[in-house]
Amino acid sequence: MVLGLLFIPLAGSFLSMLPSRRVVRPPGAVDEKLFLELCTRCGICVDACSSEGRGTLEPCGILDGVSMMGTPKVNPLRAPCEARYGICEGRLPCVKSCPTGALRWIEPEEIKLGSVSWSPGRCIAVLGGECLVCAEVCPVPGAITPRNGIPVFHSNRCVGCGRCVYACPADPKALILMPEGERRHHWGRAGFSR
Amino acid sequence: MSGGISRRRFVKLLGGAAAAIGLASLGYSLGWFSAGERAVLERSISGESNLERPLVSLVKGRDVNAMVRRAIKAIGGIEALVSPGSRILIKPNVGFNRPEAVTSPEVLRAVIEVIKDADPKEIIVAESAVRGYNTSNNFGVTGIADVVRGLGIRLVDLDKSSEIVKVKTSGKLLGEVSVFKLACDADVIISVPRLKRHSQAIVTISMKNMMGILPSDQKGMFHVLGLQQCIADLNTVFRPDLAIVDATEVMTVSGPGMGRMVPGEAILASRDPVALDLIAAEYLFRLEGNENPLETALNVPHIKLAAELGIGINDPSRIRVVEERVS
Repeated sequence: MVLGLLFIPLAGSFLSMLPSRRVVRPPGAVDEKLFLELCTRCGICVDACSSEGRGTLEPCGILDGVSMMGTPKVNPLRAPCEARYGICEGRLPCVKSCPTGALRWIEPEEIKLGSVSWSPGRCIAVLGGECLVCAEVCPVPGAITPRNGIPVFHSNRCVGCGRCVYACPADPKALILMPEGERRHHWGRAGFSR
Repeated sequence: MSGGISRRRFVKLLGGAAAAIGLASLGYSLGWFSAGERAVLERSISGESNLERPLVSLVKGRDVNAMVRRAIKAIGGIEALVSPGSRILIKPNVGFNRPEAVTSPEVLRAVIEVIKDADPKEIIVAESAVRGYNTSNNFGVTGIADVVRGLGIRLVDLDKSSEIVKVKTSGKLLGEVSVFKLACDADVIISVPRLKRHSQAIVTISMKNMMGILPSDQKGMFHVLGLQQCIADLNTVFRPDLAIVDATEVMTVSGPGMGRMVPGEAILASRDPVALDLIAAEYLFRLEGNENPLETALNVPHIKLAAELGIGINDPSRIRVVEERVS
């Protein structure tokens, strides 16, 4: 019995030592360290996203890391994020619903959630199929440009909406949304800046 | 062990449960429990599908309303196709949330008004947008919703309808195709695309537009199997009975989402989607400054493949093009 009770904190400390995954945060998130302090894991942004947005947000699970559990992340497999070039542009229900300031207002043209990472070995176009769906659905001018029937990704232009990931018909998907290049709010002398 | 179960009995129960789960999953994978979804329908094409010498009208001008009326009149009038009491499905292209990438609301309004005059039982405007775009939102921001609802016509976001049926095709790659049931229920299908370039299909006109009656997964599957052949195969069952192409502003060079917009100032119409797509593609390539527009149009794979499947005529010598100008 006593040993059993001891196991709980031991297991907890062991799990918290596991590395946390880097996830794609909702638009307007403050920098990661502060985000983890400010976010109370209330899930209101996730609800706002599913009722007013497209439902791309979901709470992180244990596989994302114990310290991350319950914090929101963008999962483009559920739906693309509509904050830029979509139904949430200029509205940002997730940001507006955040009660703690972990998510803060961000202008549409400043939104960059991350960028996509491409696995050519899974890409239908590379494997000889007739597919450029990613370039077709991409709303950002010049972010995905086809060259000889194969998509070329320009991560500097990508806003990380995840439309291409969502629409990619390859199984498994040839595209993954990564936080690389994300634009976050940072705390400085003059308050928050981007 | 008073009142509980013995270890032996527990192990037996566990084994039984495991066997049941195994059998159930086997059954599921073999499709025993999804009989309803697997029902395969057949659809027959109405109207004259084998017009030996199809008519294509190409009406130029600025007055969209008059152009649409003229274009439909020139190919025999709406009465020849829409009998009173028939159910009409109008399929515009509203795949994106950018006005230049969708059928213009003015053209759609003119088409609906012409069809209304023929007194059908029901008119439905339906679309399922490109994967990753919200159809209802597209309807709203492009102005399609205001026009269609303003005319008192039912506007359907197919992505919200759950009824999906499988339909047999007589194509080469697709044995059967999953479509929204609403498209099966219509007597007459009218495709109203905007003339655009397409990164994979070369052009997207009346036949490519029919992909908007497919659920998301089926759309993706087309790209996996081979898009051009799948477009032709889909049109063996869902061949538009009438197609009216919005070429008032044409998306050239690249597409279907973003491209260089060129004024086309034309409306094209035909009851033969293959002939229409050929003539419209030629028109598009000419606007692009292509030196051999007809040759390029003849080489668009899905137009060629559709002709091979007998969906329509792609022989320019047999297509009668009626060119008019409305001032």
